[in-house]
Amino acid sequence: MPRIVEALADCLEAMRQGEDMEICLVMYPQYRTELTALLQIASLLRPLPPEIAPSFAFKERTKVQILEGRRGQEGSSLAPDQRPGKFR
Amino acid sequence: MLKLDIPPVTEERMLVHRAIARDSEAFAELYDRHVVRVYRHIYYIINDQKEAEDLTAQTFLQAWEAIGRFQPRGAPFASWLLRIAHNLAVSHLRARKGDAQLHESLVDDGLPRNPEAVVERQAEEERVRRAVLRLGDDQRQVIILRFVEELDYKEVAEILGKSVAAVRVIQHRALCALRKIMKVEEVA
Repeated sequence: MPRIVEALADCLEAMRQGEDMEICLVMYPQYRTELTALLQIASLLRPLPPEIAPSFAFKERTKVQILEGRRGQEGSSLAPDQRPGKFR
Repeated sequence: MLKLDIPPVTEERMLVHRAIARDSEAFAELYDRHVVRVYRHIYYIINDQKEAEDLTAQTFLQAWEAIGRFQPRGAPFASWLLRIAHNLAVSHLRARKGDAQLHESLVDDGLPRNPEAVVERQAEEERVRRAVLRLGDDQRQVIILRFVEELDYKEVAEILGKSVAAVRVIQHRALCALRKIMKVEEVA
């Protein structure tokens, strides 16, 4: 008998492939109650869209700071005590 | 010229060793490898592009300052970075007055739905997101990498330096912990 850890992993994988939750639960009747609760929570964890990424300009600017050891606080939206220090 | 086929994990270890020795070129290469993941991790917590960029830069600056204390035999570099990123983002969130912003990514998925059901669903998703921030390092990282970044078990295991079996166990414990946190909140 698979442990609930494996049952959960199987169900999550099946649901990621588009399988209905109810079909997954039928395969593991012994864990039905617990699996239902955990799968419902997992279904509320929404993936971040792939387009959410740092801008090219930011990536290059920060890399230059790393390589040159410069302070990079211009235009920062952070409070002064939260701003980056020096790369040295 | 002879080109050696070095496995990515070994290559990363070599870069980390060079960075510990204050080689900024090596650290810049580590930055290239991890900047997007760190940014997206912070964005998930903060939900603001400009602030996420600032905190991403700050994460790497702190990492560069602290690299001498990094233990190559302990948690992998990526896991260490994500922990720094998380701590900075949560501190920033606490400093920010209120945090009523809903995730842009959670607001509209383009599907026609009952407006009340949409609002209810968004509120539930936001509750889970906040609960994720209360998990311990291992559990939170597994949840974000598995469900927010949609990585498979093998990829998560490699990033966190754990076995696939361990990642599955942590995933189970993390979902149980989220359930518990949300239940406690409901009662309160």
